Order: sequence, then structure tokens, then C-alpha cells
Amino acid sequence: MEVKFNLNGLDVIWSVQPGEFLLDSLRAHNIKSVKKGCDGSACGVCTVLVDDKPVLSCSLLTAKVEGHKVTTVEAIQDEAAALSERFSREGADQCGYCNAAIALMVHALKKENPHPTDEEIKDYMVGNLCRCTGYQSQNRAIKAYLGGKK
Amino acid sequence: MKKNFRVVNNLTPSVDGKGLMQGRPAYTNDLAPNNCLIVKLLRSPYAFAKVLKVDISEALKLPGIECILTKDNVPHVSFTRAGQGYPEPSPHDKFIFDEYVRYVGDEVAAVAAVSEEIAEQALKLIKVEYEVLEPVLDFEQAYENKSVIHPEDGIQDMFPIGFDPNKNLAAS
Repeated sequence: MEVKFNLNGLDVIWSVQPGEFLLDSLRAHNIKSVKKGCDGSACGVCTVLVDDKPVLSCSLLTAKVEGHKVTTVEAIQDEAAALSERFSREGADQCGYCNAAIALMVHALKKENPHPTDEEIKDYMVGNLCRCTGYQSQNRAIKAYLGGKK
Repeated sequence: MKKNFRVVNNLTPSVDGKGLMQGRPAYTNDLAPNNCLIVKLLRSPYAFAKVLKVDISEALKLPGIECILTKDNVPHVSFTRAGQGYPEPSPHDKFIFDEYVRYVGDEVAAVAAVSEEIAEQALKLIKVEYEVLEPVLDFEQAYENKSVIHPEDGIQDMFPIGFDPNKNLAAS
């Protein structure tokens, strides 16, 4: 079947299987920033934005994005680079497998709530698991990033 | 007393952090070509068993199967999966595929196919005959247990380390 949608600002028409999940479609089309972790909607590394809201692409049928807007980290490269500087400064970089999804989450959080409290950051990021950091360094980095230039 | 160091107390930016955050291809599955074969493993349902026979004849007939490996068609050369030191002291007591399986999930066969679906189908067509053995589930009962976990030939220590497989002793 054919699915028409907007991917990172471009209109695309993809041929997919009716039962295909968005995560698999994206990776098959060389969008490798979207990672497969648990493949069971538990870990968050497959997060994409659909109409600017975070969604787990492992659990969303590609057919469902017909007519919608899908955003991956490919569309927010400068923001991701700026966030990575904060991560580096806080020692929050380890294996990096969850980082692209975190960049998307922080992008979405910033839109929804530009000046979150520590608790609001934790609440928002709770679905994005990281087995390296223990989250403290990530939370510091996210806070510093959203806090502005200094 | 304040000392200035070149590294200590100074930020060392990570080399790969930016690319990873930007989602650039970096992990094995990002770099694998789209047309690469998919490998799936057939795993033991038993905690301890001898693999008497692995019949892959039906699985090999499936279109799209490129290769099936079992204990019968891989070199029988022992190695260790440990790798902490050099020389690595762990006895070489692991084979690519062994005539024994020692935990639920131990590998019995590997299938390479042109798609995940075909590889999964092939796993279902492989027929395995097991002789189910008594597992050792308590390490305090392991020493000199009547179940010998490594009775096979071809395993060895790399230097004297107390390796005594007949008594279920890897090292002492």
C-alpha cells in the first residue's frame, strides 16, 4: 500500500506493507537515527514526532501517518548539536544509543514548556530509558540547555 | 595549593557525542547494507541436554535460505568468551555449536536467510533430538556432582589454573 505523509519537511509517498510499523519503514528508507531498542514500546529509543508530539514509532503502523507530519532528528540537526555540547560538558555521553530520541524529546519539551522545572523535565523524559548514565548528568545537561545560553 | 593540570579539572569533550546525538549511522545495524542476510538462532528449551541429532533438511528447502550452521558443519575448536586479561586465564570450553546445551536459550543452530520471516520459518523446520540431562542449578552442589557439565573432548586450560571439568571445576 502507499502512504503519503510529510517527513522532515518533504512530502513523501512510501510503499509499505499494511502491517508495517513506522520504525521499520523509517529504517528501511535509511532514516537510521531512529533506533530499535525493545521493539515493544518500553524504552523510547524509537521516538519520533508526529504532528510535533512524541510517539513511539515501533508501535505505530506506518499507514496511520497518512496525511501527517513526521519529524526525526534529521530535521533538528543544529539543536541536536547544541544539546550534545551540554551532554558532553556534563559527562552525559556514553553509548549514545538513546541520544537522538532524547534530542527529539527535548525539542518537543521546549515547544510545550520552554522553562520546565526539574520535576517537569523528569516527568517528560520518563519514557526514555538510558542504561548508561543514571539520568543525573542527562537531567543537568537538559536543564542547562533549556536554561539558555549561560 | 592549587595546581594546574593539562587534563585533570579540565573538560574533555567526547569525540563521538555530536554525531550520536544527531542520529548519524554508527551502530552495527545502522551500517549493515539493506540487502544483508538476516541471521536467527535456534535455542535450547532445556537447561542441560545432549544434542543427538539436528535435522536441517526441510529447512534447507525453503527458498531464501542461504546457510544453516549446526554442530555438524562448523569446526570443533574450543575457545573462551571471556576476554578480561592477557593472557586470558579462562579455560577454553566453548564451541561455536556444541553437542551439549547448558542453559535454556543456549544456541543449537544459526540460520541465514534473505528475510527475517524466512529465517523464522526455517527455525521452525529444524528438527532437534535431545537427550535431556539433569541440570546443576545450585553452585554449592556443583562440585563432584553426578551431572558433569563439560564431559566433551577438546576442552583445555591455557595454563594450570585448577581446571578439572570431571568435577565441574573451571578454576580454583
